[in-house]
Amino acid sequence: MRKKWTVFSVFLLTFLFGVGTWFFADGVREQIWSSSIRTITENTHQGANALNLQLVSDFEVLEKIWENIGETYNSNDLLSWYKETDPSIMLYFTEDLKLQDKNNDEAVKDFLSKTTMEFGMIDSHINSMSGEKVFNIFVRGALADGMEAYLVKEYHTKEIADQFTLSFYNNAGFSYLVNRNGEIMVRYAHKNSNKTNNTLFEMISGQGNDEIIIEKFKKSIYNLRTGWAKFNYEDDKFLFCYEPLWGDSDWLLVSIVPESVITGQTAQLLRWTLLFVGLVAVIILIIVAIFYVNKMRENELHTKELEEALEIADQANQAKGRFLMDMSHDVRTPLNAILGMVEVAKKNPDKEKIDDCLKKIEVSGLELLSLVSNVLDMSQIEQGKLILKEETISLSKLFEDTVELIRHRAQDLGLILKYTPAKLEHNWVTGDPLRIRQIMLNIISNAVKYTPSGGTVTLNLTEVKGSEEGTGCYRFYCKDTGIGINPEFQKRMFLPFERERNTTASKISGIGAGLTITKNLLDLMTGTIHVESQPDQGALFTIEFHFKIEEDPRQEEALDMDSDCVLQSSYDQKRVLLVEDNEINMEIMEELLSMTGVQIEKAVDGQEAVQLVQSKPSGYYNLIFMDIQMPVMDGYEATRQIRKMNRSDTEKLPIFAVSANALAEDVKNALDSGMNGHIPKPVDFDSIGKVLKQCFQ
Amino acid sequence: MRIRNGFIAAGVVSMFLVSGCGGKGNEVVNYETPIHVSHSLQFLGNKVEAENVEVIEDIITGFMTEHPDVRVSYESIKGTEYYKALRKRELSGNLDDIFVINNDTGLDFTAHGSLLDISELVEKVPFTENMLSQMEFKDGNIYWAPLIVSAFGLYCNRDLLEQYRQQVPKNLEEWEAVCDSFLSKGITPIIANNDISLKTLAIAKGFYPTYKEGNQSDVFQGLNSGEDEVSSYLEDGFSLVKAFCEKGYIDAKQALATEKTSDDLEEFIKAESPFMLTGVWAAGRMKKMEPDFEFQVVPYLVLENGSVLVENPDVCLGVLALGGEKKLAKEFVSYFLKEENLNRFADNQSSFSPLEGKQEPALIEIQPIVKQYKNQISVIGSDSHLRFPLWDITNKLLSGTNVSVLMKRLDERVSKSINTEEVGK
Repeated sequence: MRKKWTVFSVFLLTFLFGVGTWFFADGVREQIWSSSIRTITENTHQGANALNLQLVSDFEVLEKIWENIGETYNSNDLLSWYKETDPSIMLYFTEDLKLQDKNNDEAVKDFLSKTTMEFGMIDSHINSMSGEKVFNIFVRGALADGMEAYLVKEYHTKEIADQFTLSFYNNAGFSYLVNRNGEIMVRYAHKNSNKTNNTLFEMISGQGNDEIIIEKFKKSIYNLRTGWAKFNYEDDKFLFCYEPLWGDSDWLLVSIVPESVITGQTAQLLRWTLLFVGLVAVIILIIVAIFYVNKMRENELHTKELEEALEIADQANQAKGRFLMDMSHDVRTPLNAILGMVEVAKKNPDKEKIDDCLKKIEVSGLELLSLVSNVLDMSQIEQGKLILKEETISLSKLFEDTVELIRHRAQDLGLILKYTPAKLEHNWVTGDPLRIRQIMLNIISNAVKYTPSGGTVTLNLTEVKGSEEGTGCYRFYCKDTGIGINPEFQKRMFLPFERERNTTASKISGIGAGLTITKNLLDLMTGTIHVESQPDQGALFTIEFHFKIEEDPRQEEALDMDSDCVLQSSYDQKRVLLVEDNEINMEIMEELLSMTGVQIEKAVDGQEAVQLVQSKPSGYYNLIFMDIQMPVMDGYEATRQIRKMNRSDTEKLPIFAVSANALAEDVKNALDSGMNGHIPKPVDFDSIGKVLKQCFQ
Repeated sequence: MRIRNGFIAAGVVSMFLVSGCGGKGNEVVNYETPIHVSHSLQFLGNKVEAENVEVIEDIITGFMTEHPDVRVSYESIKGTEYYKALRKRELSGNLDDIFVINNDTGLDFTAHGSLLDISELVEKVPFTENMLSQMEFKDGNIYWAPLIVSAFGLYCNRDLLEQYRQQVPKNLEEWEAVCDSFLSKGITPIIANNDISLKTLAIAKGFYPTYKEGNQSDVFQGLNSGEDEVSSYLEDGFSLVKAFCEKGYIDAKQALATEKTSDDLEEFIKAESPFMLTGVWAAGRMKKMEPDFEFQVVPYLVLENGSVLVENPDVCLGVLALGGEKKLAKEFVSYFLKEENLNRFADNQSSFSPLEGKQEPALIEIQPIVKQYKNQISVIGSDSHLRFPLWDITNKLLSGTNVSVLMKRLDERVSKSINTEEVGK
């Protein structure tokens, strides 16, 4: 529909453009035509004026002659006199023909004998004496002896042609003196002018012109009108502009100009204009086409992206579905264990049994925590918010601790766990111990998970020669005799939530996040991971780390490992404010802190916490554990308000966030709001202890 | 993407701005000096009708194109007035630089020294022997050159003839019979003009035996010397003309007022009379007038057993001997005498070319004339070997003068011209 509308719009615009161009061209043509006609008409008028002036002047001369000699001279005197003044002026007597000069023109005599006019013009004719083509003007007067006569001046048409004819447009058009019958009296001889036709109308007869219009033209000429006409002549259209001469004559000046000369200007102007307009139109079309093509391409790309996104979303949805399925199972399993053990403990008064239940509850809780942590880690990785810490660590110790973490589980599964203590030339490095452990633990966990009972998992950590000065290169090997990995799956095994078979099918728990997290962590550390495996032939994972080599910091290590003192009751003089809206979390915190001997006060939201701090004297509280997400006022705002209290104690009062939001962004927000640190939930004894130690010791 | 789009938009806007900008300040522009017309030629002719002057227009234009500093003005006077005006101009010293003459005026003007010798121009032009013999004057020079060989013919309205169950006649007897038939129905059968129609008819009748014998030079010599009387040859012809008038075949009064190849054509196209005597050159114009009938032009049916073709060297150009632009005038005549120009003019005039081996006019209506021109003997209407003017006596006949009286006057006139040595050759 939209495409049809676009096509229709294009056609409509093109049509409108064409119509507009036609009207523009027509308007220009009309303008130039009108302007040219005005010019030619004006020139014709000027030409007619010039001849008029000459004739009027000559009339005045004749009248002057009568004025001067009319009453003084008689006929005899005049006869001899006038010939000497101007040979073109002759005297014609009205009555006494004997006195007529024998050289007088018979045609003039004949005309004058019939006319009653005092003055006027005599049409072009052949002079009966000279045989020449002439025309005359005459003025009647009376002599002293009473005789009436005409003074007649003769003009040779050849001479007039030289003096009074006009040409236009570089000798493309010419003017002709014609009488009211269209007979050409005087014409200018030029190669472009008409030199032979006797009448104006002969020029246009038989040239394909409308006879009715020719008749109209004849009438206009006969009636001595002023105007213009257009006729075909010699394979072209010609413009005929006509204007009558002075008052009493029946002559007109007709200017004849080829239309092509006039329209040639128009044609050239239009040609250039249309060329320019066409060029602009073409450029606009090209631009529109480019825009359109780009738009189409963008749309295609967008569509493709949408399709890809849809596919990804679909895949993600499917992965999500699988993830939720696996997640549901993997969450419900430890939850079931936890809730089940709680039920068993409730129903069983035996302390040993209860201890066993608590232990299993702890194991399942840790499993659940691990699952949630992995999901959180995946989220951070996908958002690019996972930040590696930099601590000086002992790689060999870290390796051994990691092995230790998994040993019991391996044994419980009937596996042989082999490892050699790492002998490293450069043991101390800068790295994130949590993430390094996580990497090794993920690989080892998978090996343990996917090796059937009786199988072997062999672990090794070595140092190889590094390529850079100050940087050590370490390889961690994990080889198992498990079910192996299908080569097809090896291509996507590092993708999020990918498992060769789901939990239900494989009966092995997991959401497929471990290898993804491992790969992303290694990418952050500029490390590599390589796998060699065939189905049913086990797998060998080789991980290469690059760490900055450090000096041995033994002194500090001892302090770092000492976390047991945290739980001693040495803080009975200290008062801690717990701000938590969840009752259970509040109870857990209260229980943990009560073991330390601190005095505990509680608030259920940020606003209450602020009010308590405000109402108490300076230094009343020594530490605040602040939840973040609370009704009425959250932990960030409460902290900001406490810091703004303008009291010396509240400025430095230690406030620690206790929150399930454990991303780096959350830590930053806590610090930005004025808090001193961040403890992620679920809270553990070590975390609480470290904070108390940090604040009170 | 946005930057690129911005550049494109800026480019488009700039185009519009630039097209509207600009303008000239003060400046002076001088054009090339136009070619100044420094020479002017006056050309006087007797071809007036638009169809007849077409080629003349082109030839003048062509000459002026080749000579940008020359202006050629053409003046035309129609009919019988032409030669009157020509003579008057000659007498008053106002002759044009180039003009059309006929045999009569040619003789007079040569005698007056008004014609320039153009022998050198003619040498390069392949005129027929017949034409050359007509052109050569007694002193061996050539003073005029014909542009065409015009013929005279009898126009026949075939549809009208058919309507009255008649056919195109083939001889005098048949012609008279057809005329009688129309006359009996109240129709004047023959249209004639006051110029060429009747005198050519008379000359055809009168001089045919001479031309048939081929002894015209002897006969003309006798006439030129006065040994023989011209009336003895022309009386039969003029008697025939008189008889036609008296029988009513020709309306003499109307003929006197009818100008050749104009009024006569206007009459003929009315389709009221089946015949017209006029120049064959008018056939083209007749056809352009789109008559409602078919017509055919045949030679003069003046013989008991056939017809006679009358031809003339025509539209003869002469150059003013005393003119100020003699050289240019000769150049113009020379230009006109170019083969292609002569052929074009002849074709335009539905006439024959005066040159050797040239094709005849193609107009289908005049093919009987063409056939006779090619194959049979023709009579020259105004033979230059006759040293006296003969051309202007017909009007007197039309005015009612008796034939014998007319012949007597003719003989007297010829005798006078011989005695006063007005004869040119």
